[in-house]
Amino acid sequence: MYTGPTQSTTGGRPVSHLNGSQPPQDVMNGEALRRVVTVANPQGLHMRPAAAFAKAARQYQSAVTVSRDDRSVNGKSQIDLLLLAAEPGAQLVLEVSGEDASLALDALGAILESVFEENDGASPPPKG
Amino acid sequence: MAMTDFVVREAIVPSLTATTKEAVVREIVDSLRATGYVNAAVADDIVRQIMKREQLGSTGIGRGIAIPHTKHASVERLTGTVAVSKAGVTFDSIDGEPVYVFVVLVSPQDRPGDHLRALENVVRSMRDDAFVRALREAPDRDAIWRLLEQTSGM
Repeated sequence: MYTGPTQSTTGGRPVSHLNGSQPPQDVMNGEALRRVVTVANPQGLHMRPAAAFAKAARQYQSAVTVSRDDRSVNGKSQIDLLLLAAEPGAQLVLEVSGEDASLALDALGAILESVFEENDGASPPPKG
Repeated sequence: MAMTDFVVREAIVPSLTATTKEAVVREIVDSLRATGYVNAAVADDIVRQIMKREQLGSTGIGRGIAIPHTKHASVERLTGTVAVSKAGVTFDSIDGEPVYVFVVLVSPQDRPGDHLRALENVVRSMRDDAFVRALREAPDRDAIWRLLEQTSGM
């Protein structure tokens, strides 16, 4: 049962002295990297490319946001990506923040800018 | 592209009798065929194409929902319907759960925008747990249609 906020002395923020003598963690929580990408797939960002993108995005520790106009969604969710209804040629803003942001930005940007395998069921697209 | 823009009202199946993946797809396409929105001569082919698409990856998007679909040259506009299984159907969904609510889409060949906007609307509506629950509990075709009308007004 929810009984209201409990008392906290730290307010959830990290308290530096608790780290004792340990060196600070090497965490680059800095700014987000962004790139404007144009959806290249001739059928747009439909279910399968959305699934492929989300799956790739989940392999990164970084937070991944994809925006179109004033709509922003979680790039790690296939369902969320479908809300963008991104047709071929749509301009999306890819925003990635976290330790592996620059790797993620390159890889994920490339997915949106590539033509998704539109085979007719002969075989699944190659992995990798 | 609201759900009421492409769902064939008379083809809504409020309580599927089929219990397996392919049989469910067949029952839904049969329902579309019976209304004349899908040409009888191509109904089998549409079932085949939908199943072929499922083999590339299930359209079961989790939380008891699936969106089986295909493009097909025989339709001139996006055509589809909604079907409910009271028992649930094993559908290889991303969350491994059975599917209770099906939205079938048959799209013309060269109209990706309509298909994308239909997906958007289906997904948006289905994010609402109360809506999904209401669909599952709807007693008949008219009740399902009224729910689709309500969500289309969102």
